[in-house]
Amino acid sequence: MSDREIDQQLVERVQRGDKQAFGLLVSKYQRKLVRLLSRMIRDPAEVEDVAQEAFIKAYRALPNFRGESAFYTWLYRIGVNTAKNHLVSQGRRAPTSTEIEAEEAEQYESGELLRDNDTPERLMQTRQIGETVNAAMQALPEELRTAIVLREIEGLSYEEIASLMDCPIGTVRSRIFRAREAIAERLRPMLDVAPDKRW
Amino acid sequence: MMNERLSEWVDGELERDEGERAARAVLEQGASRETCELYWLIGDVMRGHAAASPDLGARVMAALEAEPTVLAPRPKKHQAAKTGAFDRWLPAAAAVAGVAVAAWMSFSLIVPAAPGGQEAPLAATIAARPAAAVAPEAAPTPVALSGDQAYYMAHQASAMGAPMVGVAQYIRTVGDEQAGNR
Repeated sequence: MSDREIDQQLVERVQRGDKQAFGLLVSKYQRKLVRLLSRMIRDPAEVEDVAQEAFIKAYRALPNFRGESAFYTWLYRIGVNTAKNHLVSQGRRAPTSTEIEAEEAEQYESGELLRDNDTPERLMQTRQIGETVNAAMQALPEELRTAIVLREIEGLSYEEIASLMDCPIGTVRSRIFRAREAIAERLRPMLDVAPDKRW
Repeated sequence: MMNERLSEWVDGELERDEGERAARAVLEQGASRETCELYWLIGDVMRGHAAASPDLGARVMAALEAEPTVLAPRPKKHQAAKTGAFDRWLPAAAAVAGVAVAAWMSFSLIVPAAPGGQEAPLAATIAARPAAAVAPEAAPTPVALSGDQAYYMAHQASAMGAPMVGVAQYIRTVGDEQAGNR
């Protein structure tokens, strides 16, 4: 069952009236969508308003979603259109997709992943989480670190990782899980907040 | 739900039925959902996605509370699967009944009605017919046509609107014959 199939499974639940399943899709894609929108809109508060609007538009349009494209591709299009409409309504010019891609490439090349237009509080929170994850990664045994990097950054399947690391697939499964749990262990105290304030 | 299973589900590495179970657990158990959200956060942070506002998800869900629940129309194939033997044989029975009615109507036209308004059975009617009646019918006796009738017959081919060629001519001829007989 691929990542796309998981999304489709959640989408079908939403289409049968399960709002909580949509909440899960929001949790999964909120950071990706915010990152996309912050390349079009500078003000972080506006970015969040547009992200919220895009999610609500997606929810309303979901009965017509038939899974011809991946859920995120569909959500991405809704996000971009919502951001463009927002900029036009504000009397600002919407960036073209080429501009977005150029900025994305630049961002990756310079390694500058944190935006400098966030609020100081948000920047600090983001930095703290980033540093915690990095510290936890450094503390991982080599084989766990390699397994989680190959999965999360390179996007390889368990089978591909098993082939690369020359070990059984069950070992890959276990290594990725142990790596995640080690990182999560350090993050939990930081994120120990009320359920409505979950990340 | 064991967190190792959730880790596999997040990576899309579970089989379909196991994936269904994991999705149910994540939706129904707060702890499983929290773990799952944490795994997504770890992945996003590793890929360099800045953590979004912690209350964005809550804001979206609060806004959705005011929204009517979306429901997509169900595909009709589920209904087809539920049909019983009666529904499966109904079209065939209707076809047979149609053929039977057509055959009965054809026989009704062929077999003459019995005297007194009662219809005789087909076999009895055939047996009762005299040999002369069964013999090939003689050619119709020519009927003298009046002036108008002769004109209509001669110009029948020019008449508009006849849906079947020759039918109107035949009906007219038969009608004229019967008129002549009377």
